[in-house]
Amino acid sequence: MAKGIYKNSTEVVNVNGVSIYMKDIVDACLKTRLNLFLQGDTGNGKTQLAEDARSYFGDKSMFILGRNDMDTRDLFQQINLEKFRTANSSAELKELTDKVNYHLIVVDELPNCVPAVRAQLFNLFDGFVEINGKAYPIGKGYSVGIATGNIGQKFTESSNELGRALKDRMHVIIDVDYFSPKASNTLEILAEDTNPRVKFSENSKDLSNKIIKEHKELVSKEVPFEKLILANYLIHGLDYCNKGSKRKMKDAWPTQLDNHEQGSDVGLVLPVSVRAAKSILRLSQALDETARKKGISQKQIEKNYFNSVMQAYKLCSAYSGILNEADVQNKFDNDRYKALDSIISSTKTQYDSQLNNICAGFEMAQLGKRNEKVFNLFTKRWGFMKDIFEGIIKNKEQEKKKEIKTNEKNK
Amino acid sequence: MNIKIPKTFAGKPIKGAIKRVLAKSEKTNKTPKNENKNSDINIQSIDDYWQIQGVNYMNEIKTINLAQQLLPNMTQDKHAEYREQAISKGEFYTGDMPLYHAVFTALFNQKDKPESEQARQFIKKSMREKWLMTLTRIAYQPRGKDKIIHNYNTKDEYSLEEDIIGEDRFIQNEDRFTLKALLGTDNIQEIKDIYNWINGTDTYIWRINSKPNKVDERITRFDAVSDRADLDCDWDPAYRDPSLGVCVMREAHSQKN
Repeated sequence: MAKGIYKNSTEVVNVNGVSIYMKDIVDACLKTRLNLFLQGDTGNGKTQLAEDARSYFGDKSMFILGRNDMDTRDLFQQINLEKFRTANSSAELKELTDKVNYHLIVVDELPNCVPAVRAQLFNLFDGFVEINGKAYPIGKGYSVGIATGNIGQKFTESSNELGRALKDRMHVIIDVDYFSPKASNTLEILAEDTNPRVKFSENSKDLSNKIIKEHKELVSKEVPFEKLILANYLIHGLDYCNKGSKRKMKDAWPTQLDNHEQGSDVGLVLPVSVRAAKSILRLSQALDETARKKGISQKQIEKNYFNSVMQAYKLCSAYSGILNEADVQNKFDNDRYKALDSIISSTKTQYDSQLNNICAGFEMAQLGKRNEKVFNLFTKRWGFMKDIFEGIIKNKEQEKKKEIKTNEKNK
Repeated sequence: MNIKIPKTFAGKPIKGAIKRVLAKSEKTNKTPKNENKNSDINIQSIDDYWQIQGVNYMNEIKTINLAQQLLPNMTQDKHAEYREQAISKGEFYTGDMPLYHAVFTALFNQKDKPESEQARQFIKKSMREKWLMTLTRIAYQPRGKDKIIHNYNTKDEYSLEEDIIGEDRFIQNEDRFTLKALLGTDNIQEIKDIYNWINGTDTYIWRINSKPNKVDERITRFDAVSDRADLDCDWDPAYRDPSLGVCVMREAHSQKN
């Protein structure tokens, strides 16, 4: 995609030996239609990064500066301000409808908005706009949102409430400060000019069609089976604890876990939601695609789906509310990414040791015959696999029954 | 929804997997009859721990579970308290230096197995990132031999007397009595090989360098950096550190010498 003004060669994640940078993550979010929240302190380039992304879409995108005094009506009036001055009332409505077709919504300093405005902005991120009680889908089938801001306690009085809403709507939340530009980047930025303002791209090439095409290609690709199993591990395997289910424990997690579990990943992380798992799978597909474009062979990618899924998990989960905040603070120096690296490392150990058993389970499912010894290979956090095998076997049995019935009818 | 199962999973063929896995599992479940060191040992990864069979600890062959996550930061006193509660609940706890060394030895003796390699990587990472607490405490004495207390402050506590005081250095033959008291073995070459396998470096011992004026109690820990694996025998008991969680499962039989 276009080069953009933002410069940052700090590696965010590594996929099969390929460095993925901040700009790659933004591109991946656009291609997968995952809403992105760039969290961080002011002046570190997050607005520039978002503006670079907006410039890909030419005049089919909007940039909104979050303000405390903004309300929903004002927001749309602001968008239509020029038309308001020249057009009559019907033209005014037409202009509003045109904007409904915008593909990218960039909201700068989103936490600055009052909750009512935020709610409307979140609707845009969800892909619709509510006008006079009616919801209109936006972007003609492709819309995505990027927001920036700081969700730290000292910047907003209702950070918890905002945090929950953000986690719901923003599929990927990245701490831009954590991956701040290198000295070589800032040297280049400073040497270029000393204008401290965000640079808005003028006459940039409209890449909307290219991005939408790439998006369609990416989402139409079948998600590899191995990735689906890994995503299930994140949903079900990480839910396991001696008490049965972390989800069912609700607020009793992690304090009422068994002692040794409190010192392990059982007490460090909650399972991901099904919605988050979908985001992880999409992002992992985009990360593989980025790695492929950077020179990695398809074979290499297929050999290590674990890597791209886990890197996507890291990016989608650091600020999603699944980490035990106290543990992150006490054991990982408040470094969420370090905590997730540790979870990924233990997951890798788990996964590698279970691979042969998983293969045996799928062979059993393929044969459609239950084997107690094989079922018994899956206990505790791998217990969820039994249900997968059982589901496949049942499907096979139903297919067989249908086949017998059809044969009987034909006779 | 009809799920299509591919021919391979993570590069491994699905066809024939049942036979392979069950054959391996049957082999693992067979109780070894002879007491040869290497034929007794085995390792498997079960849920969130490794089960290591054939660990020679205090001249007895044990099955020991090694947790895949560290126990939380605690002082040695707290680790000792925690151990007493954990044993009664069948949970993971902190071991003494000889127990950990016995576990490392058992892993080293089956180092070609993928599970051993996974455990090695975990131990190496943990040793490099943290100081790993043990339940061995040394009471450095102003006169005579020092006192080495294993399983400190637990119902399994036992003590030995040996000279531990000396210079900090890479271990050498002269340290064999010290190491016998600390790790339960005086096989210097084997000790070197084991920590070389774990960390890719030689083994270094840190200790009190000269006789103290009064009894000076210190805790022992395992740690590692890029150029040495450390046997820390000089640390202040007030420090809080994590530890490798272990759980002795059962006594298989005694080692006949």
